[in-house]
Amino acid sequence: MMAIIRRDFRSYFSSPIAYVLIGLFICIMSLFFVDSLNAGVAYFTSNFISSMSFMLLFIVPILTMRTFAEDKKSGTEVLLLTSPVRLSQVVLGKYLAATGVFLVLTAASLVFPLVLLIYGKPDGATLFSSYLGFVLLGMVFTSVGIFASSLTENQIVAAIISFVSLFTLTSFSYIGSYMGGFIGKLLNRLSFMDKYYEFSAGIIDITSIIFMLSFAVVFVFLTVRILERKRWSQG
Amino acid sequence: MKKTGLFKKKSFRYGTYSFVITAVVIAIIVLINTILGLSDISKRLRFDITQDKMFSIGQQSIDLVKGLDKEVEIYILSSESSYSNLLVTEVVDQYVVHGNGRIIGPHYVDLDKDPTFISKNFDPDQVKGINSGDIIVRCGNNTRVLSNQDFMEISYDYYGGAYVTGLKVEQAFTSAIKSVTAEKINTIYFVSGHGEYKSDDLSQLRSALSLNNYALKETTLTVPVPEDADVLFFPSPTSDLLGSELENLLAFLERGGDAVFLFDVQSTIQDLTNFNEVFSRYNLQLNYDLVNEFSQANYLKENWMIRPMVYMSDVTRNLNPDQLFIYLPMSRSISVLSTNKDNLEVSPLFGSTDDSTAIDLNTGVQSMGPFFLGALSQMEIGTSNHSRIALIGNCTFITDTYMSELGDNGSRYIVSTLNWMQERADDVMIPAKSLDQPPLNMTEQSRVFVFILLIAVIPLVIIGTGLFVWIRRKSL
Amino acid sequence: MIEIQNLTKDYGRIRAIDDVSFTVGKGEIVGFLGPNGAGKTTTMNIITGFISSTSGSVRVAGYDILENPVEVKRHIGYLPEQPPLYPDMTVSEFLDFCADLKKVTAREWKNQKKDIMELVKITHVSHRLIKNLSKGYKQRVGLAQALVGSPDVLILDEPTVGLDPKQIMEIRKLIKALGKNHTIILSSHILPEVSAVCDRVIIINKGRIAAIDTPENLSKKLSDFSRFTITVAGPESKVREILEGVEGVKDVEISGSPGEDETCFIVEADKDSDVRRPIFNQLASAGYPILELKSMNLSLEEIFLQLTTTEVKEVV
Repeated sequence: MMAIIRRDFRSYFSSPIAYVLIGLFICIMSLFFVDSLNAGVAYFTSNFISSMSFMLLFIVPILTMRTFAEDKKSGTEVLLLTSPVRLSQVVLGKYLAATGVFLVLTAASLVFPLVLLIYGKPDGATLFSSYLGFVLLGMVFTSVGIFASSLTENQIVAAIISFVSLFTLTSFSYIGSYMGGFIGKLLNRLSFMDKYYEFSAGIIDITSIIFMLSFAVVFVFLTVRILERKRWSQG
Repeated sequence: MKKTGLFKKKSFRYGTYSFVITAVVIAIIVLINTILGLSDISKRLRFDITQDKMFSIGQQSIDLVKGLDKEVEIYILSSESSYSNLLVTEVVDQYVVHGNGRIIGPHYVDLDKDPTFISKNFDPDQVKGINSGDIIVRCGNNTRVLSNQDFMEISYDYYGGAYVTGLKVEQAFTSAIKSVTAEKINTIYFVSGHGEYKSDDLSQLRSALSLNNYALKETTLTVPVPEDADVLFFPSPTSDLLGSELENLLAFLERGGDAVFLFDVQSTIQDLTNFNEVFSRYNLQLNYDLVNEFSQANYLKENWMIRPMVYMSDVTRNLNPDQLFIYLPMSRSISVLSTNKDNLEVSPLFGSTDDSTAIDLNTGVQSMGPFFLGALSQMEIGTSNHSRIALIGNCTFITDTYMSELGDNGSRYIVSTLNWMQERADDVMIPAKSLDQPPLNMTEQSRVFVFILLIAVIPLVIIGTGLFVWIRRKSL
Repeated sequence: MIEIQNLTKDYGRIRAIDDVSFTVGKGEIVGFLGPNGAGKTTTMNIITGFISSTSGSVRVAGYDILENPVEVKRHIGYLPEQPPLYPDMTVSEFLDFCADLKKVTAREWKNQKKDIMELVKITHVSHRLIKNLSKGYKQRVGLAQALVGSPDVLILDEPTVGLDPKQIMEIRKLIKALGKNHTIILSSHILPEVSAVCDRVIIINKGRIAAIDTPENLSKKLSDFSRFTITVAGPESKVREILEGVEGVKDVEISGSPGEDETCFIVEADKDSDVRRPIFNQLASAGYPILELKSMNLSLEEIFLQLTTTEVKEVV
């Protein structure tokens, strides 16, 4: 599995895609960070916090779209599946590699809290929990992206599927407040954005952590299942 | 052929096997999350790591809810999905967590969907003017309504500009819980019949009083003061008491009743003989004059807009006069009589400086300060009872008109005065949580520098690295 | 080493392979011969665990592919028809990854890598990107990939397809050399390739095994005309007379009359004598043209016909 993580991770960084995504991310987030600079306050504005998650809607689908499509195209799928590695390890390896790229992006974005630390005394604990929320959100998003890329061999289609799914996921709390009733309540409970905002406010909720991690696990599991079914029925 | 069938089964078995495993794993994960989500454990698994503990409650509140022997219900008048005040929901959760099951809720009630909820479940008098988004705290028949204003500490600067300086969510809930669970609620009767301010003019003060666990009622002195009255409240009478009214008042005070008198400057000459008859028993006297302040720091724009000196007393000990600015617009002075009475204890509340004058509106004679603008007096009745009064030469500072412009600090003084009268030591004294954000100390220059660094230099370096790596590898 | 029993694979309603059974012994080189779409790749994909069978069992080195897929895969090196290569990696990086994937220890790999690269002659391109390599080199890298971890069994699907004749010769030589240390199954649709390299040939057509034998025996079978059908234009009795008169013919039967004045006979002759030429000569001199002459072992012949024609097309 480590072999797959290493290869996929390196592959992201041997083409310009990861660099461009990270560079654009920093550039665009700077536009929102200006709010904090202009107001002269050592904390992330709510605009900044929500834009961070909004950016992920675009970054993750691009990051994950080629996960399985590429192997299908180059025939390396055969290599992976005929090596002494379980399918679940292949999927998990690819998931962790994509997560690794996302973590590099997160690490690059630490320039923002760094500025706050240099020029002020921000509430470190709250900054920490915002980042914890961001990382968890990224892990959830990546699992959905990986899942989408297992559904189709077309990269563009995979990216669109994951974007639409992520967009739906993030609008759960809006949809929930419109729907009301039991379904509204359920959607509210499932809303990652609400959980992310809680983390950003400085609340660390163990159940949210468990929920988000298990959501990611379920989607990685479903991805394994999808690929397995493909093998079983079509070969 | 039998053999083929067997193998068919085997491959099928492996397919089913992985499907079952997947189903089981997902079921377990869903189950764990459902259990965690539905049980109250989840509330204990939340940790407020903010520096100021924005979402936590203090020991005083924890002790209060731990010691509850009655159930308190909390209703949030909104659908759960659209209520987004994290601060409130977190704090309510804290009460629930520490409440040993005595704090129940929050129940979300969407008034759009259930418009009769209020009329069906609550005494309309107790929830007057309730709005969507408000919160009801109820214990038995006692009800308290909290609205968003109750959660904000608003300060006023020197020039009267209003801004939110802090959050007092915990304070509001703790006093609400305290109030609805209290065995006995002190009752304040607002006296009318002599041109006093109407309750509509004093709604902010009244809500502050309710918030501090006082029941508010109305009466006139033409009838004897009701038995349940603890305090009589006179919001600036403009004419004197009749003889029978004086008798009713004195009877009330003699049985240990307390009273708060506030008098604005009068435009017409009014002799308040009967009132002064009462005050003189307490060694106090209300003067018919207008005080002007000339000490720079003690007035706002106009000399009659006095920022009074606040004397240290039982009433003001728990307040911080430096923070709690008040202005007394157009005040009259209070004199302390020197008659020697053993059973009396007089203490000043507000005053003007040496650099002030008082013009007698009757005679036009001007006298020099300092003057008292408010005073407290306590009369011992026998060995175990006492009657306390407060006399303040201004009433404008507690009206809605004033408060909406210059802040509601006046009601803090009134509440503190009433608490002193009712000997309430159990005051809710939870400091508001500061909203001050840590500042960023940057010069304009470094701001521009950092901005360019973030928006252009760093991204370009990253993308440049990518292109370099890519081009170099491309030709390998 | 490899035991295949009653292997069947359905793609929906289409049966890609049907009740295939064979075994391959240790150190054998077995050729898998059949026209395109015969089920060669499907069978190989099942053996390597890439896809699953509908029914039947595969055992490699004693392990069942369903029960112990990881163990089976550990013993197999697989070169699919399209070599599985990451185009954005260099040859060296790619082989390192394969070693990593197949859990070859670092120390072992250090020596093995050099050997493999020398064996397939890719040492001098080891630092180039795979996508910049020619087709022949890509094929070699694919082969190198299969060799990583020196598996007992090599499965090579059409290892020479798309290569030029010089490259084909080299790869064949290489496979023969590898056969000394490995059990090899290779598939091809080219008869001479299989006969040149393999110890045994499995001929598969339309998902079924048509024949399993050594290349020599197969060519013998192919030239076995002891039973054949012949269609001749001419009067039935006359022709029959001529046929029965040919030396070596034991029996002549009429099997039908496909057209007017045409008759189809089944002729049985001695095993050792080829009676086709005398029959032709005699019928020709009698003025009865032969319309068709077909061995009774039809399926085998048909396959070979296809194989030989494609060989011609591709080589020319």
